Amino acid sequence: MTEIYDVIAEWLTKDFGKVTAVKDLELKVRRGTTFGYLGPNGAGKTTTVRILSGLLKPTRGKASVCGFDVYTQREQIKASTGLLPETPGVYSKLSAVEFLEFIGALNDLSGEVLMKRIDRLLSLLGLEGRQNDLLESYSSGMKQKVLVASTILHDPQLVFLDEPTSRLDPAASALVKEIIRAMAKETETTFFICTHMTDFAEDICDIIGILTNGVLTTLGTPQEIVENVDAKNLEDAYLKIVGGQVDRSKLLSWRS
Amino acid sequence: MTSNWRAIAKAEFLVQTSKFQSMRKPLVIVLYLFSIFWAILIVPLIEASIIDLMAGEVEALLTIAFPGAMRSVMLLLWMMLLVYPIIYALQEIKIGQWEIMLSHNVQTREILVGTFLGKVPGYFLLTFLLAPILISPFLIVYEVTLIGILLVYLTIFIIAITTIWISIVLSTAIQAKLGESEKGEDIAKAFGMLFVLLFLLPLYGLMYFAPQLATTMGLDVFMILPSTWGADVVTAITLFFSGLNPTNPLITTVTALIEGKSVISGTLFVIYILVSVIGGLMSAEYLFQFEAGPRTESITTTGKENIVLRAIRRIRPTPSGVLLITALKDFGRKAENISRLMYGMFLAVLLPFILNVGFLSEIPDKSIIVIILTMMINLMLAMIAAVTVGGTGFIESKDHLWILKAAPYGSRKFIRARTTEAILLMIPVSLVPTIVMSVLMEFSLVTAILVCINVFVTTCGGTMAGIGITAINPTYENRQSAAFKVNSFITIAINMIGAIGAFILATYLEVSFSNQIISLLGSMWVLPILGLAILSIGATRLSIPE
Ligand SMILES: Nc1ncnc2c1ncn2[C@@H]1O[C@H](COP(=O)(O)OP(=O)(O)OP(=O)(O)O)[C@@H](O)[C@H]1O
Ligand SMILES: [Mg+2]
Repeated sequence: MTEIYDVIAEWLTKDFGKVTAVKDLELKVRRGTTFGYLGPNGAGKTTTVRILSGLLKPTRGKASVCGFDVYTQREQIKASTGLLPETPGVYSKLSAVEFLEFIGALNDLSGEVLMKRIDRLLSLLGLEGRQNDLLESYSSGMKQKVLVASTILHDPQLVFLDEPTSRLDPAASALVKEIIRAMAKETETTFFICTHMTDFAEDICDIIGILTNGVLTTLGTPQEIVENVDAKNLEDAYLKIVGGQVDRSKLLSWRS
Repeated sequence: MTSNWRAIAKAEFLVQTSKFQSMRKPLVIVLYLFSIFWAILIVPLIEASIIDLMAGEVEALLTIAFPGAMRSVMLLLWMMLLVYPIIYALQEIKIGQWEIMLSHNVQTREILVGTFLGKVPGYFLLTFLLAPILISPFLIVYEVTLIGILLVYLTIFIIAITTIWISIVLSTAIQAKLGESEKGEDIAKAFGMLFVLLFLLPLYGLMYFAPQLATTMGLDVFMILPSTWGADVVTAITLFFSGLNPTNPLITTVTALIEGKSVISGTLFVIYILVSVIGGLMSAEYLFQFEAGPRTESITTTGKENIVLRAIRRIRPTPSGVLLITALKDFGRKAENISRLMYGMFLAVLLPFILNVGFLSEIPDKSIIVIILTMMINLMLAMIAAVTVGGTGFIESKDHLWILKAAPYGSRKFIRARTTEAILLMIPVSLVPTIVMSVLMEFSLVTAILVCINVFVTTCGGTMAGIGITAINPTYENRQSAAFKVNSFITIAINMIGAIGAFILATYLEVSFSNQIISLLGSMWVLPILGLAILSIGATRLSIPE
């Protein structure tokens, strides 16, 4: 069986002036798998996702997404991927249904098919009853749910999720987890997830990469990573790899 | 009352002068010194030489028209200062800001006084920079003494700040009431429009029944408007401090005109000031108050789509139709957008009325009047419409932009939808003032149709430029941001250049061919060509990855 890779990156680098956000990234993500991208704040996760979804030009290196080149075939990439941005940015004066209709239209969907999908997704996410309220009155988690719906609305091959569960309540993040699992299994959808929730990643990711200061330092299945550094679980392994030891003497010294 | 108002005033002042940063203090001082020079030296010198050039003709015109002209100038000033901030108050209330203030136990009255005082320095400057341009000719002709000049400007300043005060009280009241009920926002919206109509209708009624506008402004009916009281006080001061001989016919004619009225006006003026200051302070205590209750947001549920939207859905069931509908909904639900467009239309409708008082009736060639009026309407509409249609809320946040860009050709589709939406909106916005003007100025049907087409096409061009500029330099939701101010400035400048360019071309065509079809239809392409060029640059800029 030939293997299809939805993400292939070679020597992928992005500089912002002096800061190198991503450095010589080498990465392959197989179709139908769920990839977890971990790393401290400012490590370069969001930057990677933006490059791979065709929003940002890399400084150097090669990458292809769903078989399309990130330099020359951006519009094809956009048509076959979905992106959940880091912070919810939605039209405040549209209702959830109207917003999703807008996103659908941007992806060339309209009519019956679109409306049916919107209805189903909103009720799946527990927003029926509120679907005609303006988004300005939504809580940040509710907006996040609408955005999750918007990223999978056009049934993309590859979905980028930048911290999908950071605002969700436990039940909602469990639900998102189930959606991811189902889509990965049934429709061979590939997921590329940036997250800070190690338990979430350990739960659903097939492969995990840890990025520190723009460099991919660790790559493997959750078990491999845990075993390699002789840790209890992924959180422990992450702290060992990234270095999360706390200097207790400094905790309260800022007050004096 | 603690000194909270002082902190609020300071914050307000800092926000207003934030552009200057560390240069703030020296710059403010320099500006003030300059404005005084400007008011008592520069403008009078320039205008005196112009008046000298034109010899006696202007002089005669200026003096006879004086009381009427003063009343119309004050009316315009009053309207602008009063209506505009109120319309701004309809914008979304930034809950966060009130939350900070309320968590510090600030009283409504302190918010009022603080915001007002913070704005005074700015308006003081504005008065001294703008008023001289309009008032100086009269002061020169009447040879008013220095004390008289200072008193005149002081009076104008008092008119300005009283008006600001009233508008701040009203807009704070609107904001306090806005979130009170589910329908609060609609009520405020309706109020804003009603307010505009309340001023417009009586003016037009008067204008319609009186053939000679210059004398209309002198009518006693105008004594009901506070701006008239202030204007009469200015006239009285000018006469009193005039260096002319009291037996000079100029003095005697005008004195006869306002005889008796000036005392009434003066009294009413003082009462007006006292009532508005005390009334404002009292109402903040008893009529409305900011507190946790009223501010809490209400949840708006969308209802059934209206006829226009359903029609679009029927005609264009495609994704592009859906994008257009979404754009219309998003724009229309922001109360400030609608009220800003209303305000622009209101000023455009008012224009022929104000212009006619001045010089228009002196021009014998009717076709040139048509061209001048068309240009004025174009200027007003293109600027307001462009700043409204582009400007804030076009793209709400950086993440919103990412979402657009993440769709295939997303930003292009978005720009296309937004432009179509703007063109649809421009149909009523350009037609209403043009039709009103055509009726009042008794244009022939052909002229009226030509002017309508010209104004519509030009305004569309202006909005395209506005959208293009915003696409080149997105501003997101922040009205205080440098990007927003820069964009507004550039947009206004481009529209002015375009409208004036079209005007020059139209005049040239009219003089060469004396044919209205050629001059009006031939000149309307200047702004659209400019706008289209900027729009395509913007669309391209927005779609390239960073
Ligand atoms: N538009 C930009 N201009 C300049 N520097 C940027 C820009 N975007 C990101 N950076 C820099 O690139 C680095 C990586 O940022 P990135 O947003 O990718 O981090 P992240 O891993 O997503 O962090 P977080 O976990 O906090 O979301 C940071 O040092 C950041 O300051
Ligand atoms: Mg990030």
